[in-house]
Amino acid sequence: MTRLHIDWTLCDGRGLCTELLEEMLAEDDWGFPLARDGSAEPAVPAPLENAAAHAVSRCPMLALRLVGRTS
Amino acid sequence: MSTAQVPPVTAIGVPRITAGMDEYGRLDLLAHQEVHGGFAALSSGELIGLADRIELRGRGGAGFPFARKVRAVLDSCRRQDLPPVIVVNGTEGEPASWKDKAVLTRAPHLILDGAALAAAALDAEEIVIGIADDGIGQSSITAALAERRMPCPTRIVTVPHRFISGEGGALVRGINGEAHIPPGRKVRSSDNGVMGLPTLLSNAETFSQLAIAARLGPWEYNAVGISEEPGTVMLTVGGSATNPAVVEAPSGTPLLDVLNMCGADIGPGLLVGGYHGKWITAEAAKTVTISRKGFAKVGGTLGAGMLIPIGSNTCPLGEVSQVVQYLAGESAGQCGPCRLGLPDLARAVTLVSLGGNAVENVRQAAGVVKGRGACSHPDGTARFALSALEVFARDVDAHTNGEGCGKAVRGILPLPYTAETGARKLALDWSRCDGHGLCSAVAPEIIRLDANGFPAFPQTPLPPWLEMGARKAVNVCPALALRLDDAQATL
Repeated sequence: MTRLHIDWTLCDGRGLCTELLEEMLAEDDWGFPLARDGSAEPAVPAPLENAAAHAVSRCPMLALRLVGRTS
Repeated sequence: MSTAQVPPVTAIGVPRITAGMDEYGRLDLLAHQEVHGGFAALSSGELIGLADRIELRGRGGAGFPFARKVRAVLDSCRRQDLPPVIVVNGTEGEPASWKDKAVLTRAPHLILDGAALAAAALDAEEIVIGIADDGIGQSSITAALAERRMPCPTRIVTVPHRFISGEGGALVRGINGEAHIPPGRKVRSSDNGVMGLPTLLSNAETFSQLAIAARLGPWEYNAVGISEEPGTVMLTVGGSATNPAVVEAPSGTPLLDVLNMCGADIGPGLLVGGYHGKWITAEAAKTVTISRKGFAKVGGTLGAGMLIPIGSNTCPLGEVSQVVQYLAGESAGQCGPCRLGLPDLARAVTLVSLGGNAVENVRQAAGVVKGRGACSHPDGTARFALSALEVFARDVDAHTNGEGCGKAVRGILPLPYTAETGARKLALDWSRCDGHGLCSAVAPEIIRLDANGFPAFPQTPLPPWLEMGARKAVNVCPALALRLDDAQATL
C-alpha cells in the first residue's frame, strides 16, 4: 500500500498539495496539509495514485514523498 | 537549572547501580573497583547473549530491546564494512528526571564500564558521551574519564539542555555538529549515525545496567525482580514528595511502597513517564507494581522512570497548563503544526484552568497536532494534556462552573526556566492594548490572538531562545502596551 509521507521540517504550508489532492488532504487553520482520514501517513487509494504523484512532484519545498510502494 | 541539586539517592532492597553511594558519596575509580570489582571482556556474541538473557531494554523511555539494537548495528557494520560508534545518551532533557544525572555525578565509572564493554565487544571506532550543558554531570564524567583507559578514543559532547535534545536522532545530529534537533527524515542510527558510521546509541542507565550484568552474570542478575523484566529500575520521585529522591528498586516493587518511602501524597493523580507521559488516578496508582507491564495495565507507561504525584495542595489544572506552555516553548520550531499548534493547545488548556468552558478546544487542538511532526513532541504533549483532563475531571468541572478548586499553583511540576535563572516573561498593559495584532504576526509561536483580536500569551517565564521573538513583538506594538519583565517582578 502506498502512503503519502509529509516531511514536517520542510513543509511550509504553501498549499499546492491540498489543492491538487483535495480528496485526501484538507487545509488546517495555518494552511498546512491535514490528512482527511486523520492519520499521520495517509494511505493513497489506487485511483488517486497519479494525483498523489503529481502533488509530490509539484511541492515547492520537496516535503512530500510516496513511501512503501513495494509491498 | 545549574542551581538545582541532584536529589538524594536511595534503594529498595540490595542496591546495584547505587551500591556504595551511601558510603563514598561519589565513587572514584578506586572506590568503584572496591565496590563493584572487575569484569571480563565479552565477545559480540556473548554481549548479545547476555543482553537477551537479562531482557535488557533501553532505559531512556522507549524500552527498545538492547540485544536487537546490537544485532542491527553488527549487521549494518558487516553490510557496509564500517566500524561502529558507541553513543551514551546522558542528556536527560526531562526537567523532572534525575536518575541519569545521579549516576553521572556519583557513579560515572559504571557508565564508562558499560560503554567500554560494548565498544570492546563491537570493536568500535569511538565512544561518544552526550550530556546536557547544564553543568551538572560534566565535571564528574570528565574526571572519571581522566582516571582510566578506554578501549577506544572517548569524547564528551555537550548539547544545550532542552527537552527535545535528548531524542536519539537529535543527539546524533548534535554530535555531528548540526543543529541538535530531531531530523526530518527518520534515519536509523544503527545504519547511519555519528560521522555516518553505524551507531549503537543507548541511555546512560542502560549502559550502567550492562556493566552490572557483566559482573553478576545472567543468573545472579535475574535473581532480583520479576521474571519478565528482571533486575532493578532507576526511578525519580518528585512532585509533592516531601523527600524527593532517585530510587533504585527491583522491578515488581509496589508503586505505593516507593511513594510512601519518599513521603509522597498522591492527591488526585500521579504523572508517570514524564511530560510526554500520562496521568493515572490515585486508585489506579495503588494497584500498580513497578514494571513496564504493571504501568501498561492501568494505561500508563514506565518511560524513563519518573513518578510525579501531584499532591492535594496545588491546583492540578494550573500546574498542567504551565507545563503545556513550557512544552509549547520547547518545540524546535521546524515543523509548522507543532510550532503553531502547541501554543494553541497551551492556550486552550490555560483557558480551562481559568474557568473557560474550553475542554472541547483542548481536544480539537490536540487532534490537530497529533502525528504531525518529525518527532514525538506534539504527540507526547497532546497525550499529556488529554490525560490530565481525564484524570482531573472533577477539577475541570469545578473550574468550569466558576467555583475553581480554591488552591494555588505551587509549581509541583518542575520547570527549568524560572526567575532565578534570569528568565523573563511578557507582560501586557491591558488599558493600552488596542488589539492591533502586530505582536502575533511577528511572534506567532508565542503570541496568539483570541476571538476578539486581543493577544494571548503564556504567563510562564520564556525560554531564552524565544526572548528574541518576544522582544520583536514588544518593539512593534504601536500602543506600547507590551513589555518584557523580570519574571520575579510580576509573580
